[in-house]
Amino acid sequence: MRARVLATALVVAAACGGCTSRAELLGLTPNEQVSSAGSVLSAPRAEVIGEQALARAHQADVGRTGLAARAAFTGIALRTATATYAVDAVLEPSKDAAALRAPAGRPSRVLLRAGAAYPRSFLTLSRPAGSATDEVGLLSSPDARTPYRVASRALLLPGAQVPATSVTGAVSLPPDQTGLVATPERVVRDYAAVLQTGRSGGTDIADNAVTDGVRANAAGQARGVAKVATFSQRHAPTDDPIEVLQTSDGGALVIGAITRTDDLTVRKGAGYLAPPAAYRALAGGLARITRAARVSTVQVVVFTVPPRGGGAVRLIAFSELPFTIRAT
Amino acid sequence: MLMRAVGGLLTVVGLTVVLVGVMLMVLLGRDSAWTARTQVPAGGSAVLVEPALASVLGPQVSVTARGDDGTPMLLGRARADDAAAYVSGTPHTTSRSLTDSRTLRLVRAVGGASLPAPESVDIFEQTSTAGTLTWRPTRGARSVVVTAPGGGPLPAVDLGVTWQDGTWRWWPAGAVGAGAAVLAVGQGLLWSAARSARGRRPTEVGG
Repeated sequence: MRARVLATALVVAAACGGCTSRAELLGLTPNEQVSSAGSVLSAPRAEVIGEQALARAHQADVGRTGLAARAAFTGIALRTATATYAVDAVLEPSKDAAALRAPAGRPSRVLLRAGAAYPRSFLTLSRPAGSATDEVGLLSSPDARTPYRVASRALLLPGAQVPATSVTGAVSLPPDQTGLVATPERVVRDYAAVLQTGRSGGTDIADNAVTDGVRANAAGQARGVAKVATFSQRHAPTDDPIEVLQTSDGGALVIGAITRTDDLTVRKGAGYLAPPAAYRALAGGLARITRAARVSTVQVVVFTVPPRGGGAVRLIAFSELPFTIRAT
Repeated sequence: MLMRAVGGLLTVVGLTVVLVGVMLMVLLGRDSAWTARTQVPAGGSAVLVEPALASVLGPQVSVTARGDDGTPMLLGRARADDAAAYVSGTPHTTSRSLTDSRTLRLVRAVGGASLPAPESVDIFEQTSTAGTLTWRPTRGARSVVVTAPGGGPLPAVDLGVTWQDGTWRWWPAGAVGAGAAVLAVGQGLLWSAARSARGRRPTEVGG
């Protein structure tokens, strides 16, 4: 009888042992869902990636080659790199040696974006080699197989501060986001109007030195060519996506781009225009403008946009990059 | 009758627990670690160890990879979706389960795309060129990608995944001890029941 009980027990025990999953026995818990909350990057990881990306950008800026630019830049930064390097080579030929000695800017701060969907992006704040002011950089990666590259850069204006965002990743807002003093796309469009006409299209944009500088420069150019040609300047938002991050105060940080188009038309019989060095560099040895010239420049603009009722929009960073020239 | 039933039940339970303890002892060995291995044939661009193996919560996880020609391997841990996208379209091998308790099951994927150099992408949260990548998983699926530096073709690779937890040291011995104790009580009850039955048996009187 006892032997029969023991035999039965052995069979049952062996069966139970065989049925029990080894993983269950060891208390292993499956973990096969990827997280979609917060940023996919931690701040330290983003700092490392940012440092590497900025170092590649620095190398490209120093080497001024298309290959290095393609490895370092994307978007507006890549589109304008060749033109920028052509102008720099003429206007600042001695910049190379000094730039080579200076280390690449290291991010002093990163602003993460929530979400795992591509394209992924984050912002860096860094001090470029040889610069007295910080630079806001937008770094972007289109997919898992492509590293983050600098998509746009803008120098922080004196006294301006980049607002706080969620440390775990700021929510990315659409360009037509409401609940702000103006939608981000409206802000960029209205600032283009401010630069062109001196008047906003409705958005309250705080006065700043950039606006005054751009408009004064345009007036100066018009005066300078008045005897020989007419000068006009237009500003319009580019087709590039507007990056919008929610800030901790409920507002938004907006990074956009505006195309500045300068048109010079030489009056019939008035002679010709001697192009400035930057134009000659862009146009590959252009000696004179006898009929007309169109110069395109890309302006990277960074704004803080308060929540509705929160005051004026502020331009906090700006850069102007030469793009193209067509002259006859 | 009740004593016999309880004794039998405890015997079954005790034996089960002892068997489980012995099984864990065999599985975990002296290091309290469970290791599964396999050899990945040469020729692919990458080996992907999926979250079912690489990301289980509980123990510390180590993935080891050694090329049979001495090529140093680059091991990188990334979000599972990023790792899958990174190797997508390339000839690679995936491991997401075991064929038995000691052997990793492999699934080969064909593809014509080339693998971007692992050093050039930003998806890896942790990398190692020392042949072993160790971490304790937290919530959120992660995979491990094994590549040759530069993303070139892999030689044959000895691949291993080890799960290790300090608390596992005591489980097998505890299970055997506890099982043995329950078994002893069960046997004691059975013995006692048998003796009582013998005591109640009527005595035959000869004449």
